[in-house]
Amino acid sequence: MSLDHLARIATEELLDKSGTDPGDGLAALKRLRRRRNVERTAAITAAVALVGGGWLLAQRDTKASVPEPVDHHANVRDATIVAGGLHRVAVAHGDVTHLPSDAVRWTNLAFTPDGMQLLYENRDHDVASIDVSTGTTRTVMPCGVRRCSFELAADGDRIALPGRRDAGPGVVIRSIKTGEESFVPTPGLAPAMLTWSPTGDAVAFVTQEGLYTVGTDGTEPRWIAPVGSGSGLIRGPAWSPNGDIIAYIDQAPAYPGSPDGSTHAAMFTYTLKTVRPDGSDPRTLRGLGSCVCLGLAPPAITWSPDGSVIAATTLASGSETKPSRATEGPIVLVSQDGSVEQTEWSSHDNTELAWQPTPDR
Amino acid sequence: MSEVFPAEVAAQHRHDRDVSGSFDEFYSAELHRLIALARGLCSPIVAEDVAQEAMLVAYRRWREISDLERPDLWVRRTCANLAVSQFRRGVIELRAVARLSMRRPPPAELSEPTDEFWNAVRRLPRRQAQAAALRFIYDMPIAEIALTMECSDGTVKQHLSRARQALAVALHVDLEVES
Repeated sequence: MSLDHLARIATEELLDKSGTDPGDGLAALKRLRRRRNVERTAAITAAVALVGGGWLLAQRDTKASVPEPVDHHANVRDATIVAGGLHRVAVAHGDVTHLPSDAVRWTNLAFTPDGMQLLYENRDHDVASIDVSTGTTRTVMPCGVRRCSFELAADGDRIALPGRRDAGPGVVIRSIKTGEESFVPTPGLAPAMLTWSPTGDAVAFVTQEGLYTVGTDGTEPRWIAPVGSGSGLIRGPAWSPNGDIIAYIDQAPAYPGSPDGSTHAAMFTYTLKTVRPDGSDPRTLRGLGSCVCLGLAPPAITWSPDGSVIAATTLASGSETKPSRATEGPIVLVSQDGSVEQTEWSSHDNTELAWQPTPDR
Repeated sequence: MSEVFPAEVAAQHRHDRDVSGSFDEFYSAELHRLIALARGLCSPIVAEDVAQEAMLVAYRRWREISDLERPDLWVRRTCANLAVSQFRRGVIELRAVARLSMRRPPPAELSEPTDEFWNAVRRLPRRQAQAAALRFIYDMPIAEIALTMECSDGTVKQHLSRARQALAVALHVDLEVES
């Protein structure tokens, strides 16, 4: 029998056998208070004096332990999804706090492997971090470019960024610890929206043609998934923790018009899809909503640390005649078989997601 | 802290707390698990008295306590501290013994495996025992335990990790987490 099983059984029995009538207890408590008031003022016996003294000592001690509101930036639980965006709000199982005020509006987010630091882009376009238990922030490394679309490798040290050298576009890889930098060329392909393989030996990225992978040893980039429609885009790829699957969002334009055909509205539909790193087994998992987005950010996704589900923000879907702006839909958890669990959290405009790893569970 | 809550989360939080301005309702909502918490941390003979003692302090200071964001966490901490404090518990034990002599029904006995489990919890270092009891009885998340015990999330994780290891050794069970 495991400890958790034993603990559950023992707790259930303890709770079952700790029941009492609160009505009787409450009446007894109020009588006790009245009686103690009398006894304290009367001060008639040594035993009562001892009780009263012990009670007074307990009072002083509990006065010192009256809780003050916790006053730091982050108060996240294990297995917490952090959503940053327009409101820079972190939503964590009901505990809510703000991301640092110097976080840029559309910052990437990444937890360090120990789950204790959350990396983000600050207004100086540096990669910064906030300690989730103390709220302390610090600059980790400069990006050197505006809109620092950084991605942290599983080793917690290397950061990948889209970049360009004299030879052309590619992926810049920098070590946080040493500052060392290397460059992986992607000839003819301007990479965007990167995601690391869990082994750290490859990066997946997006171009207008679709989804690619490239080895950090500089091997030729490999095209693994097309965009869903001719004028669509792939967004927000995320490599699964076990390395078997790359999830991404397919953005497809839709042009619903008014019933009489006299006007058209530009609308985008977002779909969560997956593919294996070798391009095999493409799957469509779930629609994430549609919107007349007018430049607002699309949905975001992130894998759970155990790789069992993909968390995704969603948009309130509009109809052909009433397309909606990007509004708050729920954050959902999607499994590889397409089953969906709706969480209690809502998306906000321009939400990004990061799932805190918990090494001790 | 409430000012940083989005409206819908704050409303849900208040709903989940099930706390009203009335001490009577707070007492009824909290007492059962408070007794279990006390019983998990100290002798069953005095557990009910320990829980009652914590509630008495809350009752005397209800005007102040009811204004806290989480009065439920406050009373759990008070109870947990009373339960592991030998001096304060000694005072409570005097009263409990006196009440036993007045034919008050004894606490319901636990089965041997359950009794052995909670004895092992009581033998843990105080802070580990408190963290473990809060986790088991209330299924509290790390952050709430940290708030209750007035320490960091990392410290709570450490207490729980060490408590699990010590319990596994004491009870000769596996540490594997069930799927």
